[in-house]
Amino acid sequence: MNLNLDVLSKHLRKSICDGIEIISKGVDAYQITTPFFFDDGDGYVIYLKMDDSGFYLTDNGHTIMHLSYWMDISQLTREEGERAQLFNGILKAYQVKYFDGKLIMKLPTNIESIGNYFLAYVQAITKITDIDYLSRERVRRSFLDDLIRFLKDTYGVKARDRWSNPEFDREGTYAVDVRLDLAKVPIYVYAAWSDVRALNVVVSILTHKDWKENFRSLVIHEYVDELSKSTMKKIMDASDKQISAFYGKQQEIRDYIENEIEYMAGT
Amino acid sequence: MNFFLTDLEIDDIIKRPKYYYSDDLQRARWHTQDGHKKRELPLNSDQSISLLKVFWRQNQEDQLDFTVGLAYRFPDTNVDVNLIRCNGNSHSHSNTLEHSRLVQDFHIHRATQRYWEADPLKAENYAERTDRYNEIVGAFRYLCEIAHIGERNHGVRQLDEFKP
Repeated sequence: MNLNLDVLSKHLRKSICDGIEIISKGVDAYQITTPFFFDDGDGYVIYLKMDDSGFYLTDNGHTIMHLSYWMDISQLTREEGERAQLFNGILKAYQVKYFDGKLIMKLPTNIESIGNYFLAYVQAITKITDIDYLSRERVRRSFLDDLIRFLKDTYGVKARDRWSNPEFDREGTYAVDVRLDLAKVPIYVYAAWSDVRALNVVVSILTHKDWKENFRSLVIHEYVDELSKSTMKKIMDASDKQISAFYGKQQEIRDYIENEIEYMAGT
Repeated sequence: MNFFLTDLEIDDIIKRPKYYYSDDLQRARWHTQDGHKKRELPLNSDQSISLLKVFWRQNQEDQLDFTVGLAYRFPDTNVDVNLIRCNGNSHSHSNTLEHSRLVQDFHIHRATQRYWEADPLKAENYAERTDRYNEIVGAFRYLCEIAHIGERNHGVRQLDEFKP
């Protein structure tokens, strides 16, 4: 495949936007500069290169290295989990291959379709750089709802969400996220996803104790590593049991609750 | 907790005298992961107990694609913020608020209050071009200069540790 840089430049500018330039960088390697930037203002790095099978786009490993300034990238590339799922989903959706830190997209031979491929490649980089932000926000927003749904699906009407003491707290100021009536002593389940939220959970637990309620408390965290040491101490002192995450630990939560039921039945 | 620093606080952390031990620098081995090399160096300060570190990233495909940064950890958390990053010239840079653009220059990022207020994810968006280094070793040397980072040898550490 012969590459006419002028024709390709004009084609990319016309099909995507002005501000795209192609700069020769050695043998069969061209850097494509674009007006697309990461959150910190640094521009995307995109190269057009050629090997035996034809032309391809690569970021030379810059995108993943750039992400590593803020996040542990093994969460994307090595581990099971939400971020790795998102990463692999983006690669599949945009037909991008991942190899040794590099995002690689093979290009067709006809120059007219390169614009569409280039756009898809830019979109893939954008989506990948959004993973950390998106996954955190998504987890924060849906964590409590997901926890309530999980407990209701598992325990049915014995799981009452946003339960509050009818005698002392009609407005639900100190509401329990989910009250489980599975044994003679109920289990109060709370979701904690931030420092402020964790302190609110501590206040709720201590208030219910102050009202002389007989219960066991279970706090389930997301982003427990963001809690300050002082908050961590308070929640450790106030709660009977904590589990460090919800996503991926549902079986552990079920097992703990079953053990609690057995223990309370035996006492 | 409010993860925010004013310009004065950022300046204070950057200008505060800091040091690393020669042994720690030698122990800071490069690790290769996903197409780049990385390493970290813990910093110390006689004036405070705040957690600071220098971090390096070097792209294995492109010697001019690197960063050497100064990171600060908020007390009692695992939340880090990068206060300075000395970058290579592998890419362009855009200062969003100033509408200015650097075209593949070596450049230095610096966290600022105005970018933090605009978006916490973009605190270190602002960058200026530099001609004070042109490779990663020079970038570390220059970071030490602008962030007031000195070197101490192991003997000094032993004396400090046994001070009454």
